Amino acid sequence: MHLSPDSIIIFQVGLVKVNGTLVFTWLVMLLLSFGSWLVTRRLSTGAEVSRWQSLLESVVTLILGQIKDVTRQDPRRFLPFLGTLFIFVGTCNLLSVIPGFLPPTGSLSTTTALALSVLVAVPIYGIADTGFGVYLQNYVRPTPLMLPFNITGEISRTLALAVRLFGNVMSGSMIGGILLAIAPLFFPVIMQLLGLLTGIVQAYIFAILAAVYIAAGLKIHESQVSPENNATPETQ
Amino acid sequence: MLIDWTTVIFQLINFLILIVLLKRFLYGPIIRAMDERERTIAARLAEASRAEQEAQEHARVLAAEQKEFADRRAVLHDEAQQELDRWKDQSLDRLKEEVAAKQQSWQQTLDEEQETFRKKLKVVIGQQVFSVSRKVLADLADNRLERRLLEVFLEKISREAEGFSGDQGSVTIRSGFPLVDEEKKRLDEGLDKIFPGHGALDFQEDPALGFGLRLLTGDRQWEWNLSRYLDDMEEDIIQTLRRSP
Repeated sequence: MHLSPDSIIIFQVGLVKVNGTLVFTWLVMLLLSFGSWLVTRRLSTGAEVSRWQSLLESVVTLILGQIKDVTRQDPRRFLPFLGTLFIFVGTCNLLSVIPGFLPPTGSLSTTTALALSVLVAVPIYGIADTGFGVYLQNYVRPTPLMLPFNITGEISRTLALAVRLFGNVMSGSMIGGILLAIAPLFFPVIMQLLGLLTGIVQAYIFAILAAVYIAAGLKIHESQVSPENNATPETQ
Repeated sequence: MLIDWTTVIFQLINFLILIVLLKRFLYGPIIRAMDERERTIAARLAEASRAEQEAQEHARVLAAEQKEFADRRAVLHDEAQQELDRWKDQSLDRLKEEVAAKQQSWQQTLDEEQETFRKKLKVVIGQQVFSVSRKVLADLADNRLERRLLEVFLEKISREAEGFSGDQGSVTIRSGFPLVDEEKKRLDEGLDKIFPGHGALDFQEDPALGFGLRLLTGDRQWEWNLSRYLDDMEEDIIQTLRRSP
């Protein structure tokens, strides 16, 4: 039993090992891109809308609504990053019910990569919104003594983001495998159903936390502009 | 080691590629389609709003026109009513005048007819009275009355012929009734005294004289006639009746 799809080496080109995580990720990327292309190549702008277009519009509208609720800003500039996080994580977790499919989100490497992308995206959005100098000054507020704590907070929350997703997905897969060995008839099915629910919840949590982190970087700037706004950045 | 940093790097790149792909094939088209639909709906709503405003404007214009029509109709109705009242009053006045004139004319005609009838009635009554009188007198006329008539006639001639000698010519006596011999003889005797030596008497009967006698001699004549009396009296009475109211 593989604890992570990283351990499944499909083939190796020189020092580069193409493992199961990468292959399953490519499959998910292909599925999402091709499916999107199939649906969006003939979009309707009238009253008659196909079911798939209606589904995608619902998903996009839902994501936009959630982002707007969290950031209180125009959600469209966050949509590609946060939306892709949610859709990718959610799709990987949903596909985990397919026998033989190992979700890439069950790999700590994948969740680390996603957490690192959040770690990078937060300052990028912050700097784009407030400017480089102002954003960096946030780390020494209210006093330079807070600099180590702020940096630690950034790293720890990124680590928590990665480990939370990895742990939940990996544990789900492992519990399913263990139960399959102990009681192969009934319980694995229930656990798989629960896995569908927890997979979507984890995708939602991951994307929402990323949105919260990004919004926190923006709200620091807003609180400086309008002192009456006492909102504090969320860290965890 | 749970973390394979090569895989992490590949996954980072994969994630960035997936962002680009989904932005190209999912978010962009979907957002554009939704915006386009929103614009279409907004345009339709604006069109509907504009149409509604136009409809409201038309409704206001229509209501104003209806009110104007109603006011105009009321004015026309009032004018027509006033004209009708005026015409009715004028017609009634004219009819009253005509009726009054006709009534007056009729009353006048009636009065005239009554007056004419009354006058005719008076005349007829008078005529009837004298007709009856004549008939009574004619019926009552007997020998004595005729003889008395002779005497009266002779007295009349005697009175009127005083100084008249006569021409000794013939004397014609016409009577309205037949004279008997005795009467003829009495006339002869009476005339002898009045016209001594008169000629022969010529007796003629003339019913037109009625109860009366006429004597012709020469160029003179005397006559006593009940009809003449009655005619004169009748004329007097009728004239008197006509003058009476």
